[in-house]
Amino acid sequence: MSEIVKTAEKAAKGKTLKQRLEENEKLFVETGCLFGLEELELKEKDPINYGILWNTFQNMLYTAYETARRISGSVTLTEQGECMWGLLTPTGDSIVTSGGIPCHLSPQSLTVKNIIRLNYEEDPGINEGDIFENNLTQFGTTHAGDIHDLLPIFWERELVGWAGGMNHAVEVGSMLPGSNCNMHPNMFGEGMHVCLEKVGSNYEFHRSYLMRVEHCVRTPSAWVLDCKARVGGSVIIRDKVLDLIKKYGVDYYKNVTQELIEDGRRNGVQRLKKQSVPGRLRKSTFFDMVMNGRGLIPQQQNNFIRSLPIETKLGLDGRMEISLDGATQVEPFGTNTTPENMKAGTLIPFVQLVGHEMPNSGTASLFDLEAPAGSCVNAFATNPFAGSLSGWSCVHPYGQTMFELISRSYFSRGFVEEVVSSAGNSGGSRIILEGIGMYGKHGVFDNMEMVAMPMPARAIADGDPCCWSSVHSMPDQTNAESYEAWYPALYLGRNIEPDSGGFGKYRGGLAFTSVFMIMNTPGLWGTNEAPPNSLSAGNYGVYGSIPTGPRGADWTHRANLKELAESRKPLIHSRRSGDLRSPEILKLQGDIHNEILGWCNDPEQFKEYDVIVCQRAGQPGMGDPIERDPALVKKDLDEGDTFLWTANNIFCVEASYDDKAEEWRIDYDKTEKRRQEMREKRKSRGQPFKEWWKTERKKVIAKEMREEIVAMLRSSMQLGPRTNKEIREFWRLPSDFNF
Amino acid sequence: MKQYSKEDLTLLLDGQMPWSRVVEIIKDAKDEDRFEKILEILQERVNFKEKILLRLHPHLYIVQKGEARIVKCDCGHEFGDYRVNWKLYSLIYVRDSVESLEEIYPVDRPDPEWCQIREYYCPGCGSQLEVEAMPKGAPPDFEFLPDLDGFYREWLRKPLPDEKEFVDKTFEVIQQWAKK
Repeated sequence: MSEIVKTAEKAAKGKTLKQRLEENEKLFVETGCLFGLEELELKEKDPINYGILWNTFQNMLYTAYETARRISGSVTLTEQGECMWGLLTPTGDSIVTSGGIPCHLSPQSLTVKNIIRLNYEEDPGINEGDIFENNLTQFGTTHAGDIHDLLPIFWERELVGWAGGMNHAVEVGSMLPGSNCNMHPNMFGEGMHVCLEKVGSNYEFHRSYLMRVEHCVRTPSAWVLDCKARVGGSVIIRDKVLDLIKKYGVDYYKNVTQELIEDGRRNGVQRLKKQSVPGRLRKSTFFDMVMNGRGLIPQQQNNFIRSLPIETKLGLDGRMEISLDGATQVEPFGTNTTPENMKAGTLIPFVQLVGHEMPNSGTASLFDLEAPAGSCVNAFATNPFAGSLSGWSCVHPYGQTMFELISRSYFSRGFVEEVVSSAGNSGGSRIILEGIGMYGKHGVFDNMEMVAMPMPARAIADGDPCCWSSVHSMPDQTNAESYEAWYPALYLGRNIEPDSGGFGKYRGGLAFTSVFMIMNTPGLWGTNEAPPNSLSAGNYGVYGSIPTGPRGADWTHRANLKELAESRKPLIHSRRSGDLRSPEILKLQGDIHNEILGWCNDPEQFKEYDVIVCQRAGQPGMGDPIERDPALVKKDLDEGDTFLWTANNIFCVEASYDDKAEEWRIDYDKTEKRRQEMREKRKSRGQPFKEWWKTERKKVIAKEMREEIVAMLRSSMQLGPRTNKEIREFWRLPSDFNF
Repeated sequence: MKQYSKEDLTLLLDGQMPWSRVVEIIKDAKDEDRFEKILEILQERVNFKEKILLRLHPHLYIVQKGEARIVKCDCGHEFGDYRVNWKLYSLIYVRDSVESLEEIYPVDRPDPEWCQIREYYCPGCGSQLEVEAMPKGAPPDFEFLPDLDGFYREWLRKPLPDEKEFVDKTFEVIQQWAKK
């Protein structure tokens, strides 16, 4: 054991880090307070100084975030800020995080705790200047594309904490370019793994590590610059921590940091008790994977439907018990994940709706989560080699649906200003390209602009377009010019797409669509990282709103764009315009691929003048569409955010265009009449649920449904005992019946 | 203690408050009496006499009716014990054909073989209360079952009379249907 760690032991009353970690966990179970802190003495003694200190910590982290991300060469860091930094205690509890992707406080904490649990104190030792790195899902990160670096902080040879940085890397050396590949059937196609390793000493990366990077990823210089950014930000944090310790003393620092974490927990409990209603909240989510004929290996040559039902019980103690009982099996793709990552997913809404004033491990302690072993959300319990590079495909929809569940509870308590619809459907199609770029070098080109997503509808207002993110605290679409400086493609358009938000009394935020023309490359291979659903609507309607439909990407080969440009004829600049039903891409001549389903690689290279249309997903709405204020429909018509067809048929608004005034006019009397007719129509076409249940039950027992649905139900019931019981009880299935 | 007037809360509730003022309310400390004031506003609006215990949905309330606690629409239609999924007492319309789906999805239409769109209406007023997108065979969601007694007793410190067990009674109703 190193000399430094022996000193740390003395300081911690002779205990190893592992012993201290176990003691902390025991104290939490016994007292319900983190670190057993039933009183916050320092806060009570001097609340002003305590508050100033919390602000100081936050500023420290934001300084690291704003400074260090500029070290990177990647637009996703420098402009989009797809990164975060954190400060942790010696035992790996998050004290404070920066902006960026704050839900990573949980994976960051888990990484340090795994360093401790795996006895790294003994081997390889923990010394000043060490750089530990991890991108293996099993050890803490959300997927291999999210890379964590942790640096220990020492004061007079005592370990007083950890500073860490993470970022989403553009390329990880996976079998397909990028860092969100879905197609690898197991972890062995995920790319370069850094398996909880010491990759540097004395604040320098080991030569052997840099050699590995140079030969195992497609863009080693980008990887190294990202590393330097993560370490640079951590060093900034370290320096500022040492300044704080000089000012306040090391004992005060150690005690106040623990109080801040316990305070974060209390902050969250207080908010839930004040703003919500306890009880049980549930929502089912589904995800289709249309892979028949598209897979790489036989096990992938099928269509799948994933079921991920979510149940959360908000108890009277202000804690949540979350169950993912009913989640379907491990998938033969890179789409699996761990319960720990689903906890990180829980933080997605928690750091926005619950613990936003003090997001740290205190916030993360507010919930427990259980996931069935052998399901896609607890894959490694039965398959230690499951693929997880696109584990976000589970984490994202889950975390985003939790917005709805927490919001329903807030709505019932009356805090309507805090209520948002489900944040499902974020993301969208994304074509990752690989090949020789405009500077003559081989590169990977992944446009992450969809980080800036629309906002779901609120209980009292429409969702905003394109300026929010469920995961990112400061989303940025990034300047088109910045991407054009790196991506061998020119933007032909970046548009807010009409009618892309869920229809409701309040509509979901509108998505944007980007249209690219490939340029300055001899050729690029493309992979479609598909949207959440290709054939199904996501189950994201709230209080009567209509769920948004599925989306697919569009692209062309050998289209006539060059001829159109040279003859000064109109090009295409959007996904749809004018005629609601006609995609713009169909105006081109050539080899047109419209509405691509599922994930896939294009067997043909993209060449100059080929076009790609990437559409992003609109967000869910809230409320009955025929209760939408006609004035809001008029506003949308005037601004081109909706079409007359939608106004008439979905919102039941009677509108006409006044050519003279150049604006739309609403006939309120006819609108009310239309709406009343729709209500009567609904009562007429709707059948009592009991009648539907009786008829549908027979079809279910006869399995009159697609084989993919049968397989989904079978898997869901096999892995989830509660789901098994409830499906049987709901449909009154015969005792010997199985799907 | 932070408080807002009923006039202000009415504007907030109805989405009529200027957004800059909403942002101030979001940023400020939360008012302690919000729940009670909101219930007062809602009680004054509905035509029925039963006391509202909780607002479940923009149209649906849990009300005290005699010794029972039921879900009631603001139009007056009654759905039954709040511990039973109210959807069991609604009207349902299932869009599982291309034609019916194209009525609400002129573009980006789901495939009816993969996804049903289930619309739940109030039998009284025809309001569209919830919409689900589910594969065939997936039971409907029972989105929120509140622990009403726990809430009133522990958080509001105003226990309700005649405590009811916090349990999902949906399957008891289904069981009865199956017998008939």
